[in-house]
Amino acid sequence: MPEPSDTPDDIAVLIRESAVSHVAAEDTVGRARRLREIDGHLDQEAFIAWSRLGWTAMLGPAERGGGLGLSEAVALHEELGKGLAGGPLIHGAHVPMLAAGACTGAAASRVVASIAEGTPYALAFQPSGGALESHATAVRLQEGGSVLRLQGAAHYVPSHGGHLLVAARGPAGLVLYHVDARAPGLRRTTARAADGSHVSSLVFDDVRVADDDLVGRTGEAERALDAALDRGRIIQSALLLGVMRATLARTLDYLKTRKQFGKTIGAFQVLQHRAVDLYVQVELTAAALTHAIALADTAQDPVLLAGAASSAKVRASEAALLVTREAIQMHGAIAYTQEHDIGLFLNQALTQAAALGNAAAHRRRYGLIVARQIAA
Amino acid sequence: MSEIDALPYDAMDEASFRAMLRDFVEAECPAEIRHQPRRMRRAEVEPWTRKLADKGWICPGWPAQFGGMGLSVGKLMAFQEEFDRLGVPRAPDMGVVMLGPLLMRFGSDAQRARYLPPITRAEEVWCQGYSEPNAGSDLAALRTEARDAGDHYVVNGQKTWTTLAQDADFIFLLVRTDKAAKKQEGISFLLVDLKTPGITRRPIRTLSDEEEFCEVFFDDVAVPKENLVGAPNQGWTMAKALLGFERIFLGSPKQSQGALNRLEALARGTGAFGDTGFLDRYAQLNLDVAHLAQLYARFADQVKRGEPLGADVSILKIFATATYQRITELTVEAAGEQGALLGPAAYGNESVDPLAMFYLARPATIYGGSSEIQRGIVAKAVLGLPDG
Repeated sequence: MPEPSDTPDDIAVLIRESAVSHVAAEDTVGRARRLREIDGHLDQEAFIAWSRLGWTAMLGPAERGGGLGLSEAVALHEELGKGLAGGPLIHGAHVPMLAAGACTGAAASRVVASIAEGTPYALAFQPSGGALESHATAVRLQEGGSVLRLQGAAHYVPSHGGHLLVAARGPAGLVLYHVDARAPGLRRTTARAADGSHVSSLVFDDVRVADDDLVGRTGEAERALDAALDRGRIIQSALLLGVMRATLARTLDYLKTRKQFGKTIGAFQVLQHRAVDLYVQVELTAAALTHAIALADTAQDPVLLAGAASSAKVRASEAALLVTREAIQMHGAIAYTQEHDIGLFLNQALTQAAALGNAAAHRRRYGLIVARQIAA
Repeated sequence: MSEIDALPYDAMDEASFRAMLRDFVEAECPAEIRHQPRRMRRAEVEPWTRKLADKGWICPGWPAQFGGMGLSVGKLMAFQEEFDRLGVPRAPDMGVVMLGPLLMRFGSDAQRARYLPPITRAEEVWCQGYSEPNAGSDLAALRTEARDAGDHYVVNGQKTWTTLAQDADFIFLLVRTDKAAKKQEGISFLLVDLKTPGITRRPIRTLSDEEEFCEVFFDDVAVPKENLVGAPNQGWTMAKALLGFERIFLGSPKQSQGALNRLEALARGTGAFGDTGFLDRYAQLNLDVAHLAQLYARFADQVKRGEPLGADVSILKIFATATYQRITELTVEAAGEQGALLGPAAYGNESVDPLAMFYLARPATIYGGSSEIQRGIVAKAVLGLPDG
């Protein structure tokens, strides 16, 4: 990890450099292919490696090797996105770390330490059909005498090992518990996402939790979770920016080399103009992201943070899907094969555009925020 | 003029500089000419431009030695932003923006002495004679000819899309002086008094129902040799050399922000914000404008740091104009049947003219380098794609 005396800009530059070397040295694109083709269970070694690089701890408290902000996380993930890496790091480390780091329950500091050391956690809060905010959770905390039990269901939970952070509706408000994924009464059904990763639906049937498992107390858990999710979405937008930058670069290379009708196809005006429209969307995403970071770093108001996160996520999701779809078209039939790498970029865009709310969901939330401001 | 010496604008901090501009505009610029959706005519803005001239503020970007405000690029951007925000009308400015800088760089001392001072006093108004019926996007194909007749040139031909030529006193022309040379290399730059015999101006009524442009016909027009700027056949090179940081203004979010504001007024009046279909499309346009402004800010910072703009600045104009048009299209659609009626309609306390907005947005993707020309530039100069 960089020394604390470095200025934030220097740290972001150093982190970006280590991400570039990581992508090259680990052949992360090759790993993304194996994840998709073989079995999507992410090996725990990846988290251990990220922990050694300081990346699982970076958004935690300074005394746990963190203390860095969104600028550094965004620099890291723009580069990881180019190598199709980083998704599990966001969902398994950054978002849980941001949530647990802002909580004061008995288990909070234990969870923070555990994430820093490379143990992945998964956030469970979405009801059937999905939701952007934690208050929608369909898990209830029931108190029966001295026993606490969780009842209900959670969906779209990333499958990263055995640790869950479950948002539950308690008698006085939202709470956050650490739950072992093998706890009695917990049933899991798993689906695979476009990029090959596993996503679970969980049913909680009288799953017992103890006071000792409490991460986020009533009064703090909801705000901590929602802020973590929104910061996570900004980082996710950076990952999507990386995906589209790499996809556009590969597509431009192809346009400059592929010949048909005796001409390099990049000389055809219709392809030139379409390529420019992709470039416009990439640069808009980068500008929107810079603005979202600045807002999120200073915003005390959750509505401002929500607006910034939705703004970035709408642009990044739409743009990444446009760039990867157009990349398929411009490459032609070869891009419709599993053998060609460009499909891996499409799969990454599909997966991250949808996770934590797709463009339509975020446009709805952003529209309601703005419409309320206009009406006021 | 003494006020200029008393006010070293570049020594002012930006907030006081903006406050000074704001105070002056609020006090002196009449409300009825501010925030107008259409281009104002010379007579409409003249009382205001005279006040600006008295202040020495007609030419903010010119050096003080030529009668300008001598602003740094940063202050000049602030000047433009402040005037845009306050809805100050754009006075006929071809002399200020185009001709002045060209004469400062390529003109003779005599040309500078004759032509620059009346521009700074807003006494002589110029128009730009570049486009022709068969030379639009392919400007170098222009055919208006200046024949060497010994002590003068004889100009014959036709210019078109000449903005507000009917209000101008002079025109600066790109004319062909060598038909044998490669098309860019046979072009010269001429200054012409519009009172010269043989010149006919015919206003063109646009889809917006305004006479914003003219056709200008030249029929054996005698122009003195001393009105040639630079060397013969150097006109193309000189005109191109002037495309500086001002290109950023073609991609300003100002038009989109103004149109979005009108769409919001209409939607408040009709209750459209309660319609989820409308809200989804509105939210997308609101985001498009926000992200355009954020991208614009990135290029503006580059200009303020004194760095030259690259060809990538064209992406601003491509997206700004497309966004502007989409906003006016949704405005017409949200207006329903009213969307096909000429003239403004009341929405609550506000007045919105959807059709006027729609018409006004049409040429944005055509003038100043069409979106297709801009995409061609970016494809080759930024993305490195090959020539066809």
